[in-house]
Amino acid sequence: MQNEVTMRRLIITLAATLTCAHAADWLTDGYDTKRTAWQRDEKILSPTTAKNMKLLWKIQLDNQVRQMHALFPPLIAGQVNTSSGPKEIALATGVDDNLFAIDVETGKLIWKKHFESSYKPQPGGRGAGILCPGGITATPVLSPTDTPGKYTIYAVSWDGKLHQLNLADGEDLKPPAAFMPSNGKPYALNLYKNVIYTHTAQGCGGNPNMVYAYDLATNKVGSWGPAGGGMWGRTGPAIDDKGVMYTGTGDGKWDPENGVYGNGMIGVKQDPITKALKLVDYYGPSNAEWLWKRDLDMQVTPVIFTHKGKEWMIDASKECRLFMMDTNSIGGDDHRTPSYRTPLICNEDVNFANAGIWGSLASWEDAKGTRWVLTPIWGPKHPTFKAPIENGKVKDGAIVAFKVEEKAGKTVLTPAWISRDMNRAEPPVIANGVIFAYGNGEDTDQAYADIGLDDVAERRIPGSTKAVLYALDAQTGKELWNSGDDIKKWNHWSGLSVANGRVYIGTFDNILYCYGIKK
Amino acid sequence: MGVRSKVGRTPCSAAGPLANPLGCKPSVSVFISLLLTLPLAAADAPPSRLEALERTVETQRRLLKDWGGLLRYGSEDSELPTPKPNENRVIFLGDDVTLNWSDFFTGKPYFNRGIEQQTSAQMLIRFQQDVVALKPKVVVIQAGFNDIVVNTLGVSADNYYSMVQLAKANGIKVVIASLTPVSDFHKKQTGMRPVGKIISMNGWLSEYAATVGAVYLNYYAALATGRDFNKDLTSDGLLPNAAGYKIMAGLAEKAIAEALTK
Repeated sequence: MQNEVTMRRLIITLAATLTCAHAADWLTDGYDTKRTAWQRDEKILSPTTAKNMKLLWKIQLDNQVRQMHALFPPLIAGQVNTSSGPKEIALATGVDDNLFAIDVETGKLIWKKHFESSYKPQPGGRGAGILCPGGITATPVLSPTDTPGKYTIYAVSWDGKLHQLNLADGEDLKPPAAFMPSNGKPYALNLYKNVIYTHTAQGCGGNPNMVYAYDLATNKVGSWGPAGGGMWGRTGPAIDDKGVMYTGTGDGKWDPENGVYGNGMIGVKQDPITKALKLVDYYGPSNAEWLWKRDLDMQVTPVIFTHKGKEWMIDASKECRLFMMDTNSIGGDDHRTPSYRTPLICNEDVNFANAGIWGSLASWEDAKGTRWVLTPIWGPKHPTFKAPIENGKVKDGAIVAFKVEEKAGKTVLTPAWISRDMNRAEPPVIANGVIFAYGNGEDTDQAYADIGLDDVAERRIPGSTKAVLYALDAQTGKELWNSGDDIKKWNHWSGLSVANGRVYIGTFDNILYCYGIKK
Repeated sequence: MGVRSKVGRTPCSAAGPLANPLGCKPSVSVFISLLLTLPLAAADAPPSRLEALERTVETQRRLLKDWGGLLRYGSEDSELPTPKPNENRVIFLGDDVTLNWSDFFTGKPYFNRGIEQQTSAQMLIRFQQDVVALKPKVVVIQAGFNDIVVNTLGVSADNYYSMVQLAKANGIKVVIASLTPVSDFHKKQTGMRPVGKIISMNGWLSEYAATVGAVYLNYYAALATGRDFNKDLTSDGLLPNAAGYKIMAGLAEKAIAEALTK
């Protein structure tokens, strides 16, 4: 009898495993280590079916907002073996040191984990404003284990500890370990060859802005700082095929002769022996001084991809142009010459708060082998920038698509299309020929004619409206579907994820929405 | 009715180079009036008129935000490397007359920093960014053509004093260019820029240049026939044409060479 029960359980588990064998994952912010935001395994959503999308469910999560932050982009594990059978789980992160596991079939909470922190803000550090909300600020990362259906969550709490938990039940797999100073404000974690990478910015808690790497095999931590630049690429660092971690260095002076790398790009690599981080490459735009003077930070998470056998990296800044770099030498011999740079796409006003490129980029390759690069923009497009397909007047933001092409023996980015207007367009994601993007509805003003600079949540929250999610045809940018008035609130520094016919977006009222096609 | 007469002005963006600066200056009261009256005007305005209004407001908004024009060349300025040891870098600071210069000194370390419709006051605002920070040996200041529409000579003179002092304090030799002539052959140009005012201002510029040891660059004498812009050297009676700029280039080269010896 016992053997029969055991055998039956085994058969059920095996059947469930086979049924879900091809379930897609979204294990890290921006989908992969190169931050392409391209879901390769989507089968349900397509340019044909996207028009039938509906709200499948929404869930109110028990999370306290901090400043303008609420929820970070959820991570998706397609098949997790839980005590109640295999489940597809969305891991949502709440800024108040919370993790939530949600059964995506039912939209019900499976478990919640709150990281208890003894951290108290220290005097002398940067105040607790919008830029330093406290709490958990980095989207965690998931990793499959050697056991099928078992995933590990890696997350960094407000107190700087690295947590390793079982996705199935939220239980600790190992005791929390020291990773970085408390209140360091790390950005989305990236896991590459058993090492967790992240970077910090805004000098929160009086901490220096640093790159950090946690070697999971040895528990050793490496760090490196660009001195003078905060690294606030929202989707965290991107990592190339050689294991070099790249990030924009944000607000700061570009003065590499004196070891200061603000308003540029840095490439950092772990020493395989000592586990220390070392600077291996860097690039400063030729107008870095202007970027610094006008607060047009190089702050976007770069995207890396291989095109015709060569690895490329694209990055951007609030100035609103794209820089194309060869990962073998991102700035050329003088560290100031990218392979290509686009003209200005937006931000004719040179506005540091309401315009430019923010967040991260995306890239995908279509069936014909055409490589695409996508960027969100805030504000109107630049009057001199044109694309063959423009889907209406852009006032508040849009998605802009480029093709990677060879022209006169040089690899360049050719404008392909500009989407419809979106109120502060956020980083797009791609799945099976469909671009998902959204206008976040956030009030992004930081300075006022009658007051001056006053970047406080008390002003911006009342001015924020609501997010709208869009599905666009990836070839033309044509709108296929939008969420209309479904979504009641806006969000700040969040993002999308997509897997197995479902698209997820969280908002400031701590509601996670799931859209897809009803069966 | 008063509302309609205000918003019915020719939009600056459609007025062409060196349009009446008075009609295009970023007066706060005009800007606010425009904003307040837009809904009224828009209610019965056809689309083309509405678009024209939007363009006007946009132009005014930009001028209010960046009256000095610092955004125009700021990024380019930051990309210029420090001059080589023997480089005779020259900055041409000016308005439309400088901006529209055809075949601008190809192959020479001369940099055009002209901005349409600017007055000397606006040039003073950007003198640090567009001139001093670029470490030139010589600056050619071409200002005043729009000043005579809106400013008295005394106001323009103060701006000249400040620009020349800034240049001298930074070891930059100064060339002061005359105002160029106008004519009514093509359309009325002397209404806003009376010939007498131009000649008067040129007289002052010449004397001032001599007083401060600057070189006076007399475009006027070379471009005028009598009191009018030579018809062969202008296409609209306001700006030089290619032939006119060719003559100006030769004169500018001589003035720069003289300044470098001072």
